[in-house]
Amino acid sequence: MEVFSKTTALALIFGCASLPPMAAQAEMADPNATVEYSGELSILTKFGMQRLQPYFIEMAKKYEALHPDVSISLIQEDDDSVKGKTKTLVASNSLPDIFFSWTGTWGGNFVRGDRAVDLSPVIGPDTDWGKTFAPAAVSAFMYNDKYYGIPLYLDAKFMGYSKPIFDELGIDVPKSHAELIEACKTIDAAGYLPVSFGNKEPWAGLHYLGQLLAYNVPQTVLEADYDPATATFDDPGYVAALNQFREFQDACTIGADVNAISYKTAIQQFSDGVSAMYYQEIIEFDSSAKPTTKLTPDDFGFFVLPPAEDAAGDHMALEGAPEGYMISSASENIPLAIDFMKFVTKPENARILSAPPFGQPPAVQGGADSENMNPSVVEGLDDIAEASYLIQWLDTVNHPRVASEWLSSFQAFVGGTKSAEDVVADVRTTAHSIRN
Amino acid sequence: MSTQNIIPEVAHKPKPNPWVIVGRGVLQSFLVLLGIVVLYPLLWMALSGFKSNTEIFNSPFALPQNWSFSSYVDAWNNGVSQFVVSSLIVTAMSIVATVLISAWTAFGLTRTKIPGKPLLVGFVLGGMMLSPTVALVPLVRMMQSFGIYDTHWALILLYTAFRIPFTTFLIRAYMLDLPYDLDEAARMDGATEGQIFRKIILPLCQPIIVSCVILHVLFAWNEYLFAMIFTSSADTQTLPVGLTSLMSKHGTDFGQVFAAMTISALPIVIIFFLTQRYFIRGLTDGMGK
Repeated sequence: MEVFSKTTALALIFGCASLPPMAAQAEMADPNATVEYSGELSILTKFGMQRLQPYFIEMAKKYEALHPDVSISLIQEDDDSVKGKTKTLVASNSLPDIFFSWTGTWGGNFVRGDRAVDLSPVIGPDTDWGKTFAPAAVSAFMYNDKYYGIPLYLDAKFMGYSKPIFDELGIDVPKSHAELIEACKTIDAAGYLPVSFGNKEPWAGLHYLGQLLAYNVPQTVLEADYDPATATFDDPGYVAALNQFREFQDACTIGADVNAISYKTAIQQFSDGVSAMYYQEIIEFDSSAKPTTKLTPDDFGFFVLPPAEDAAGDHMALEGAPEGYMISSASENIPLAIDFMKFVTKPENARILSAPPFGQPPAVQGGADSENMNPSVVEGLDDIAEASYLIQWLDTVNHPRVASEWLSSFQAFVGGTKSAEDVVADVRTTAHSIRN
Repeated sequence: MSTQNIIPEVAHKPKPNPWVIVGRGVLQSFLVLLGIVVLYPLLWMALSGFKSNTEIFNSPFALPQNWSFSSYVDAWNNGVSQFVVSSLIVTAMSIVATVLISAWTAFGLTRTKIPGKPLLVGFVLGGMMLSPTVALVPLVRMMQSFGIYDTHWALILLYTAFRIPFTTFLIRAYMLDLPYDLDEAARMDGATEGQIFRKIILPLCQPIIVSCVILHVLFAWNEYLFAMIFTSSADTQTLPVGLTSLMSKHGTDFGQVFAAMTISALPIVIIFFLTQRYFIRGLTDGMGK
């Protein structure tokens, strides 16, 4: 019932949000503006979950203590409710001064509607503030060669593995796609599930494909194909990536039945020591191996999904994206909003975010509290820093209709009812239909 | 002699029809099964509150290995207590407002002479056709301009406004069946319209009012959309929205979530069992005639 009402609600809210809202005006941040430390600042966060909620409350209290004339009101939402809340607030022209945004098309919509302040003069790569972030994190919020977002934390996808199972079977960390397939065969023969994978939520599978596309399709081609106006989807790397996934699915997972398994079940199988590997986001490291689970943090290892040796794309690319915040162009106190975000992204505050119980890998350089953080997360951050290119999630970087086609077609491919060629053809047709 | 002939005839009971016994057995088995179908999910939810994530995923139908109330305590301390308080405030206040306004409206629509009454009835009951989701965006602006956005008052106002048409519809149907002689007798005794409403009609409407209260409790306790849009802070969020904050894409303690769901369902289940007699009678009285 609740799921029904929620889904219906979001669908209807989207309908409401598409009503013509009042025109917004493009704004550009002024680096020399004087900050007036008075008035109210409203913030829409995505830290509504119990574990993360205290972070912004603490930041707001600290900031208010420094500037007693400023009062901060927080709207804290979770992963799902933030979508509905944002759409309603946009449609009713009451977007808070600072609001959460994903990268890709979600953030692009704010830019297109002139809802977000152009922050290039204050957070561009050559600015003092911009230099404090990981460059890939800032550029992930770049639209039309301008910078609109303040990245708060980083996320990327890695293959987590059980060290005890790998040690027991004498398996080394795979360095290539072929080695991964061989490792899966060995693990399977020993009676373990090689990789627990749940594709009931189709984005989970698309995360594998995103990484494989980065390995098989050149970056320039990928970026051209993100835009329906220039998309061709004719690079042979697409079919090659899908075929590599098929090989992986056959050797490492339970096959087509993964479409009936939730990603939550898959991560639990990994935590319970049932499976030897689970492909996960860096922000999941803390929850997949806990002191209370069978797979303890000491048993946990990870590696970047290895590329096929003959893959034609970038072998050093990594799938991931930061999440961050934008400043509303309708804000009456833009300098104050920017000042608050500068405060939140100070290394000492970023270290609070990186340490338990929050455990979010910060986007600020030097913001990782390596003493208190999970060592695997610290290592993962190094891998992110070394990556030549961060390929964003396919379902957020593409046009919503293309993303939707990727999700449904790839799920059909995993279920065995669609061929690799058909998946690419259908995505191409959708992209072309948008262009036309 | 004759007595001897008669007695065996009187004492002889007709042989029970085997088909009647079979039919009764089937019916009773069906009802027991129906009871299990309804009650088992609730029991499963309550039992899952005693389990760890591993048990929930690997042996979802087994009994808990450890009968510890820790998940219930954690859920209560992690905000559920506050969500329960918010839900109680919003539900209780909107019940009082909805039922009183609706009863007064129904009284006016059934027992007073108003010109253009059918039009008024159509106008009030037409409110049932309005989808709350369609009005969402203007309502956000309205609540913000009233200064009650992210307060309990926003939900109380909205729940009352959107439930008045349906509640009026129920009470009006019930009031139409009450004899008009009562009003006339009261008027002859010098009672005002207000007194007739308070002292005669309202007490007679008790069954339908109890039904309306129960229906409103069910609605306000479980309502998600308005609660999600019009509240933001943990202090104002009601249970359905608060429960989602216990879940996250990464790392959910499902034992705690089930415990929180059980705590949130408990008041509604208790209320229903205590008042089911009124609920069924009032509803059929109001709607059946």
